[in-house]
Amino acid sequence: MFVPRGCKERGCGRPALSGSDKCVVHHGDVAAHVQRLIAGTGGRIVLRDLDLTGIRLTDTNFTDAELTGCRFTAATFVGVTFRDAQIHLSFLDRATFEHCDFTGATLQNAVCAGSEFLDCTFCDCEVVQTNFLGIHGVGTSFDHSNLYGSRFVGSVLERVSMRDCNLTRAYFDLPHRESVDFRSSNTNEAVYVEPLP
Amino acid sequence: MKFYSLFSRVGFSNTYLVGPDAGGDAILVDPGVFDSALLQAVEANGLYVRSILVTHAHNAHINGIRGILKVYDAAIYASHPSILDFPARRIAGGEALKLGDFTVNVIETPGHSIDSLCFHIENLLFTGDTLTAGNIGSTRDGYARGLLLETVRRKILPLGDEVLLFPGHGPPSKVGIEKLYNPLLGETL
Repeated sequence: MFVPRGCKERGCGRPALSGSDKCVVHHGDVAAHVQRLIAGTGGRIVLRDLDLTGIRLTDTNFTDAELTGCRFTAATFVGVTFRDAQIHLSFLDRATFEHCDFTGATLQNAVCAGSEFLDCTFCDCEVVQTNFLGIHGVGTSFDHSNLYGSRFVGSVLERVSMRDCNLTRAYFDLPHRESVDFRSSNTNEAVYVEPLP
Repeated sequence: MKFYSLFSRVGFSNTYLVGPDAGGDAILVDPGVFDSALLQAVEANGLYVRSILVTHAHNAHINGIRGILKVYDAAIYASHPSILDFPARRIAGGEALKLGDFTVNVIETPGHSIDSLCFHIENLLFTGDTLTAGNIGSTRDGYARGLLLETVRRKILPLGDEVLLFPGHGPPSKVGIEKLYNPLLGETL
């Protein structure tokens, strides 16, 4: 699991990037630093226990990558391919994902809460026990995926498709799930959380 | 820190394994099952289960203890003097346990059950059934529900938004995420 460390810049409360003592704001060249971390893993990208809070990645290929125990809180991913990636116990909360492709990926015990997903694809994925609380999903598809135990409470979903999904023990709340296409999914196995009146 | 989350299909519960990077004495939290995946996680990382922390004595969180104690000489820490007839060290809120390389701060969180505890280790909080992602634990009646919500508000939410939550059921979360998106906590905030 990543170990949170503070940025060494005086008065800065942000977390330092792994491999550096500075945060994403005070580091001189974040892009080069991140590329070094990625390149350092050799052929298949394997990132473990890294804190990369607030980074920005564009058109990066994480196909078949493994991300375990990492923090990408408030990161921005544009055009990133996560096809067949393995994402475990990682925190991708308050992040922005634009045109990202997760086809065939496995997300298990991941935290994507409060993130924004614009035109992303999660088709044929294993999305197991993943935290999607408060996400804003637009034009995003989870079709043919296993969403077992994942939680979408407080999420706002627009033009989101969850067709032919396993929703066993998936959590939703009523106010925010009206625009979702659940065709051929087992909505009767989902759980609907409601506060007391 | 080595950290693993293991899912039990028996009680749909999570078991957590915490150990030092270099291997050695490890902590298990809520072993709902003892299976090959858990054994593999322990052995492949050079760990030895020395301590078992029980958030509450419901079967989904303790059923693995029998098997574990056949393999490892581990001490049990719980609200009760015994768990499944095995002797346990009785602990209470406010205690700081030194277990191997880790300090475990014990937080009493009654509501889901009267014996409920949470365990705070570094930046990780193991919440059992007290608080899960977007939900709280089931309660017996309105009094218990009020007690649980009040406990969460007073003891968990002030710990800091970036504290990572690892519940007994469901995905991980953060304190800050629950403050923003857990609809049930709005009843008390």
